[in-house]
Amino acid sequence: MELLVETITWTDEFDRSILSTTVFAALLSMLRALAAAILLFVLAFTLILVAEVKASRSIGWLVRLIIDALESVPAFVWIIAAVSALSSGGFVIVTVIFAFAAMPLVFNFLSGVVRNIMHQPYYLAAIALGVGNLGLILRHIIPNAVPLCMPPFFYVVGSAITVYGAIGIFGFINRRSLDLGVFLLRGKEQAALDPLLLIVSLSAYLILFVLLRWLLLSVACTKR
Amino acid sequence: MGPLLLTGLRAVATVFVAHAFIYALVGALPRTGIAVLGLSAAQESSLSHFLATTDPPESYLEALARLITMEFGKSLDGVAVSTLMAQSTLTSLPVLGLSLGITATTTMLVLVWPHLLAPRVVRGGFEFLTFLPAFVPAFVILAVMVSLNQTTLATDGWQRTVIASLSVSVMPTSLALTTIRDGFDHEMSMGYTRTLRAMGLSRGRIVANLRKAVVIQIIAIADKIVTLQIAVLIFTEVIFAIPGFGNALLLAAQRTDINALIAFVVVISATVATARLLSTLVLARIDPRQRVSEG
Repeated sequence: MELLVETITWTDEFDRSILSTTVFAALLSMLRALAAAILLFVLAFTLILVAEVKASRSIGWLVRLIIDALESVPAFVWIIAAVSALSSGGFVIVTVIFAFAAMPLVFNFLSGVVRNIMHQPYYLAAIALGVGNLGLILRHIIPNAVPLCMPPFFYVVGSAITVYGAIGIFGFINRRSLDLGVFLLRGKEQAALDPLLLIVSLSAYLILFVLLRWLLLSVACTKR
Repeated sequence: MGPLLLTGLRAVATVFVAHAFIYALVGALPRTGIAVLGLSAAQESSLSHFLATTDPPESYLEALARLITMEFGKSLDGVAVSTLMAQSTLTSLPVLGLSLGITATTTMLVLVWPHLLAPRVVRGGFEFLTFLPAFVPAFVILAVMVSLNQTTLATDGWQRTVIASLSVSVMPTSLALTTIRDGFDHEMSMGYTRTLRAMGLSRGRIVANLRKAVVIQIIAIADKIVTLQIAVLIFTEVIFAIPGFGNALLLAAQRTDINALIAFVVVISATVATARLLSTLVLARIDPRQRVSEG
């Protein structure tokens, strides 16, 4: 109870309410992660369509090699390298690099889904009827793949939240920024004297991920 | 022999492509393409960082030659990057070794007694742990220590190694355990398991028969476990201020030490590619389905 009262009334070293800044930072994290996840899915889908529908063996092999290389290094390492080299932890740069670095997460899943759809009778019938590539993509692949993409979409949102947090924890963002990662970093530094910021920002992460997990499970149940 | 040779070549190619990406990202991009994004100030700043590196690779071919000779040049301090890598990796070895030991032991235990994962709460808990960000276990341990007034434990000595190892092992262990649970669930639902049941085999005998199939699934995700272990290790070392691999990588990133950054990414990529290669080789020997498809 005492901690709750403290959380509501306490301010940080910049005279900002800890509770309201944490809620705002959590919302911001979620929105950024959603934007990054949408961009990633659009890119991955385009790449898979090029690799699968165009069905060139060499393109497929090349894409596989690129995915292997990206997957062999944790996504946040690519991002901190980019942020370091470009001297900017801005939203656009991080989102674009995330879209490439986290590509393996989505690519492996989506390519399975697209391949599965391409072996379905309705797809083969459409080919037999002479439907073009664009028609196949718009009428068969996208409408059938989108519902299956929802559970991994929430995984990617979680992964994006992690990456944005990592940049804050590694100190690449201004300390006044409304970012949960920066809050964790500051909370860690002040932990011995006042653990409130650490506990509140950590709780915000846990609440965000409980929410995401709940959404994921709900979507999975609805699909069944 | 053909498929195995291809797998080896694929592992080598993975490292070379990762190297090309990191060179493009930290070497070529700041020098060439950034103006297109309208970031001229950042370009100037990063270029000055780039030029501050004692001997940055001038071209991709030079960077490639360095990769082939395993000579990554010097860091901003003038120390050979290979020495820096060796020192930081040696410091990380106790934590990494202990955490791998914890993961392996827990995995073995659950393989022998899969019913340990039977309660719903335990299953759900491990699933949720694999979903969390890689830095959460270390921060949770830190928060618990703060609330118990035990922060000194995390500053030095063997206690720090043990605490950091626990933190590093949480997520890879959860991933392994979730895979085991899913593996047993999947195998239990298969037709041949129903046949074994119908033949009157006890549950213990059936589990013993299914164990190999589940081990195969664990080996198949070995590279993912290694990647996760490295990711959590980097965060944990930064959070507990252990001067190992993670902190050296962070320092290189904060100082835009091009040579060190390239070397770190190559080492991580090579480690994961080796894990993937080893798991493929082991699977080729022990997975009967692969032997059949190859034959």
